[in-house]
Amino acid sequence: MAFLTDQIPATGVNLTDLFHIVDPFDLSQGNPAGSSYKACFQQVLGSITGGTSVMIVGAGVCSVERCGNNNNASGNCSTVSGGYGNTSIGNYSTISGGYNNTSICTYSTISGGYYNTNGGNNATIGGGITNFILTGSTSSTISGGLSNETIGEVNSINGGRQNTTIGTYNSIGGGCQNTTDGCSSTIGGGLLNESTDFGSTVGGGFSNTASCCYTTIGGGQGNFLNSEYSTIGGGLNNSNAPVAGRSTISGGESNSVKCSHDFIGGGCCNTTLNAYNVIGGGFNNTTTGSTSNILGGTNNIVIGGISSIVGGSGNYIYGTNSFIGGGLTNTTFCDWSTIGGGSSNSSSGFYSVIGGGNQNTTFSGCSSILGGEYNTTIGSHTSILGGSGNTAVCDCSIVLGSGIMSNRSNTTFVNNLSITISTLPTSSAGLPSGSVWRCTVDDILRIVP
Amino acid sequence: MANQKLTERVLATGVTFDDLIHIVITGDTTQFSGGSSYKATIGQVMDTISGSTIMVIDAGAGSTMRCGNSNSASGAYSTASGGFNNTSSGQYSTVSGGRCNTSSCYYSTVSGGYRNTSSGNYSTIGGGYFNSASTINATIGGGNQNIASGSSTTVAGGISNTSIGNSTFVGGGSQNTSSGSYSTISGGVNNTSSDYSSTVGGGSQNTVSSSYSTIGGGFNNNNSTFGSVISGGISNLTGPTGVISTLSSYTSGAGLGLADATYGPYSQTTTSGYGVGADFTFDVSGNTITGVTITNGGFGYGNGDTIFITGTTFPGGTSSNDVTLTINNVLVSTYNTISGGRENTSSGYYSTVSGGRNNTSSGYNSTVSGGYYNTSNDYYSTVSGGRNNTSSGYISTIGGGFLNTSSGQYSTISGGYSNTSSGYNSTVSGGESNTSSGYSSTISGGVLNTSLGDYAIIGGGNNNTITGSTSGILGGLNNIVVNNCSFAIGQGITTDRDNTTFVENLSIMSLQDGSGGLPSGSVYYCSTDANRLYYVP
Repeated sequence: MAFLTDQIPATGVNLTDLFHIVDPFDLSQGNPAGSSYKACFQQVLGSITGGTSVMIVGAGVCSVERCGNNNNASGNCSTVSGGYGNTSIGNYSTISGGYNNTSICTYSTISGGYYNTNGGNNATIGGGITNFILTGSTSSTISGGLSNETIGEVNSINGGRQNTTIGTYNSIGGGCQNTTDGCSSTIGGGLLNESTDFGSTVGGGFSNTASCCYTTIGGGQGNFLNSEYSTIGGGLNNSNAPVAGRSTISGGESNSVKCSHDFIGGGCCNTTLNAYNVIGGGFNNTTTGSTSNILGGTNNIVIGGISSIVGGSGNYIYGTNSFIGGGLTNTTFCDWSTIGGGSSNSSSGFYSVIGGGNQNTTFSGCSSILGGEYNTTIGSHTSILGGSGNTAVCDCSIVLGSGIMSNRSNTTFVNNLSITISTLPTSSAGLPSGSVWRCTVDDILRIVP
Repeated sequence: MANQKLTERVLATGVTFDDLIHIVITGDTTQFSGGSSYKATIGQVMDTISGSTIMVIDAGAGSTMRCGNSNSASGAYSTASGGFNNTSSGQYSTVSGGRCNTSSCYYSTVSGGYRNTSSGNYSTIGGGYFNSASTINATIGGGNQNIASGSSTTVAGGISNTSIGNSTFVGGGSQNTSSGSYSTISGGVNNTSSDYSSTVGGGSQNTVSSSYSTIGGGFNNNNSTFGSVISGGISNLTGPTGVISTLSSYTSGAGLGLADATYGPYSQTTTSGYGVGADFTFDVSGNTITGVTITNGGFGYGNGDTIFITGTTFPGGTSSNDVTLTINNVLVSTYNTISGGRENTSSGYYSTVSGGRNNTSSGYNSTVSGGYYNTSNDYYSTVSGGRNNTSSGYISTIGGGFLNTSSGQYSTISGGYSNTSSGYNSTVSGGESNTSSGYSSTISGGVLNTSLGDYAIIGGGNNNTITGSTSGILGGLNNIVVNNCSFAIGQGITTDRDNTTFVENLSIMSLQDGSGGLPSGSVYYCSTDANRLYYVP
């Protein structure tokens, strides 16, 4: 028999090959040094990993399994390196430790924790309890927390409790019972928030819903966004309609945007109903005309387009390009009309103006009432300075006084007229046509023709 | 036996590291040039193959440990599968790698990093440095010196962030603290979110301390009122809330021995609640406190709170002068909104500041849209812009300008400088230093005009004054209307009759020659009578 060193070197050695082995504690063959046996390398490896070492080859080819703890590394090249009752089914899947975790898909990983299940290729669960990455959720991540669940690709949940991501590229930072159901949607945290369309975001708060693409809710409670590119900063129960894209509500309560490109700054129960509307704040204000504004106050309504109410209460604008500064229950019915303030004034003529006062009314175009009470313009281009109970009926008539009704055009009406005698000319010399002068001879008023 | 083929031998059982195999050391030629024959243990062979076996059972039943690196897996079924000096002491706990990490509770996990501690049941730390997840279901993704100490809390990363409340979240940044249940801080530096469902998006030194409230970003913003929003900006403030409005009782006998006088203002020595900043004056007469005035309502108080002021606060006072005040009602601020700007304050219910600087909306549903140092402090009051404007009347409005004050109910100032609209329904459209204080009075513009009469109107001009009701001044200078239903057109006119229009000179255009067809009251001239003026009777 040749020396061992004379033998041709073996090639293709595998676990079933044999070699000579002596068990020194086995004296059954009569030799006090031990008994001689053949052995295969598989037996040797079993001795190595089943002895003081705890890592063995699992059921999967080239797998690594922490033996003796009811772990199961059945995927090829899978790893269960610790813990108890963990199962790595997917090829190249890994479970580092914990209890009863299951890593189902290829390249899936669970670092630890309790009863976590990873069903996504390349997906990761950091730890926590009963977190679940559903089958098909490729490259998704749950870092930890309790009973978080992701359905879809490249989703992530950092932690928290009972959060759910459905779709792709969604993210939930933490909090509780939050749901993203779209693509690239995000919830930072909070409770019972929903972000359900592409690029939508809820920063936090309670029971907020961003349900359309690229919508953003900063926080607050019960806010709801239903159209694209819209924003709610926070507050309570603010919302926008499905056609109110690119709109913004900064805060407040129960504010509602019904059309696109609108803005509500804050306050309560304010509503915009047409495009490019602005309500700064206040209570129960409503804009229905396009590009109309209400900056504050209460119960104001703008129906005409390109019109504005600054503040006050119960003011209405029906015409376009009109303006009410403030006051109480003032109304403009026609285009290009203005009411500065006061109460219960009504402007019904185009280009008409009411400066202030109470219960003044312009019915005619280009007419004006600067103030006073119960004044009315009927003729066009008429003016009433103030006073009470005046009516400018004829065109181009002007009224100064009270209780006057104009009855001629191009005429100024007064109750009484007082001319300062000391300054009234006493001669017509040098005076232009139309000038009134006093004749000192007979003390009679005369006019320069 | 000696010549028996190996394949004919009985298969060994119970092979151990101590069993021997025949081995030829090829580098040893002492026995033969091709090598020398020796016996060897399987352990020797394995040492040659892999150095040594590194995964072992540690003190915990069923535990798994990377040996030789000072790791410890002492919890039952715990794992310390790599790294150095890691400790996995909780049952089913895991440390995958890194250095000096500790996983000490049921099902807790540390994946890697340095000096991380996962000490809550089901808690998780992904990696990083000096992080601590100490409560049930807490999670830290990574970063440095982060703390997750509320149940189901999360810190995704960053430095020195703290997530204390239940189900809170800090996304990243530095030195952020999320302590209210379900509160969120997405990032930034030194932000605090301390009440239920409160949110900070980012920025620096922002604080949200009331439930359902939000700060989007910015710097040094403070949101302390329920359901309120600060979108951004610098040093903006909602609240204060809990401002003392009325007291229900005080210790009247505490005036014993004090001289008759008004004492104070004094601030609290202690309180049963959390409020601060309140000041009071005390009227003492006949050894009795006869009245208490709230000079500063402070903030943070609640209904029924008591305030104690020690008797030694009073000049010459003793413990017999100890006063206890009981709060009957506090003003509570909610749903405030500040969209941006700097140093703005929104403290009234549903009040709004959209931007600008140093603006204050403190009235119920009041609004300041922008500008600088504007104030709207009554119900539904509005300031749109400008500077130093104050809208202090119920549903009062200021459009813009500088130093305007709209203090009457439903009063309006559209713009200008230093105008005052103090009458009910009064209006100032513009100009400078105009005052409209009569009921439904109006000033359209000009300077230094004063409209004191009800329903009075001043169109413009300079230094005009109306005291009569339903009167007017078109413009001009230094006119005074003291009569009712009278008007002045000109300069330096002082009216002396009701129902009269006063002028200096009069020029009448297109006047009819003769009275033909004219109605009563019409003025005409007679060219045949030296142009004399007549009127139709």
